[in-house]
Amino acid sequence: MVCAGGMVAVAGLFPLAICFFITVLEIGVAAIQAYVFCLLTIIYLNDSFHLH
Amino acid sequence: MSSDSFSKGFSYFDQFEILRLVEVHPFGNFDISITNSTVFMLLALGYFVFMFNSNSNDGAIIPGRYQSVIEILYTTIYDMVKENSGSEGLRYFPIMFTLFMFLIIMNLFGLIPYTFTPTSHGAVSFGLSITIFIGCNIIAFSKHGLDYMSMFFPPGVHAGIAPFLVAVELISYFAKPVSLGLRLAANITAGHLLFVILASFI
Repeated sequence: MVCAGGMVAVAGLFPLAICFFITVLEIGVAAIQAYVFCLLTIIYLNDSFHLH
Repeated sequence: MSSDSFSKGFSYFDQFEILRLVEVHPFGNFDISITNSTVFMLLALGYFVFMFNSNSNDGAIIPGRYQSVIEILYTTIYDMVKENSGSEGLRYFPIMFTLFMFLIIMNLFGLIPYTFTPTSHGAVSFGLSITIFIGCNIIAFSKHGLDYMSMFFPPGVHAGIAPFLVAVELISYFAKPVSLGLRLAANITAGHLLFVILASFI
């Protein structure tokens, strides 16, 4: 960790920043996947009511 | 740092491990143990019941914060059901809303560090999607009878390509529940793996 004059520790801040960004993204994914699951369920249910 | 962790037997997939907290084997190999997956599903259910009982019973005309959130969620799913299935589909609105709340609460609980996400497991998401598939078939066959089989052969198509078309339609019909379950499990698993891999670089 302290090798290369602490450069590795400083470089570690970059994935940390990405991690925060990905957390925001994943909150969106969690909500969207739940929504998509329900949307496709109701579309399949609609197909079983109406024959084309 | 990360090489130390790996030497202690750390794996990227540790967070998806199912731990049996209370062993229950009533009939030989039939395993219905209480696992961490069960605990988090019950927590989601408890939160769902708590959220709706403690905050929406007064039914104020001008809603407070929690009641606003509940009303927004309710109207979103209500509009979705009504737009895609009309008034006929509104009979199934309660189960759609329950399904949505169950999934979103489990997905969001899983983002808290050191928790477990049941929806990242195929057993949970495929269980839901295959149950929905069987339910849709029961509804369709009880409504249309064997006429429902015309689903696999759209009208106005030349009879010559019937064998090919029916085969394609059958495959796409049985691919529906697979894609439904796989999409949910794969998205949640991918997100959680991304977290672990990024965190191991810090």
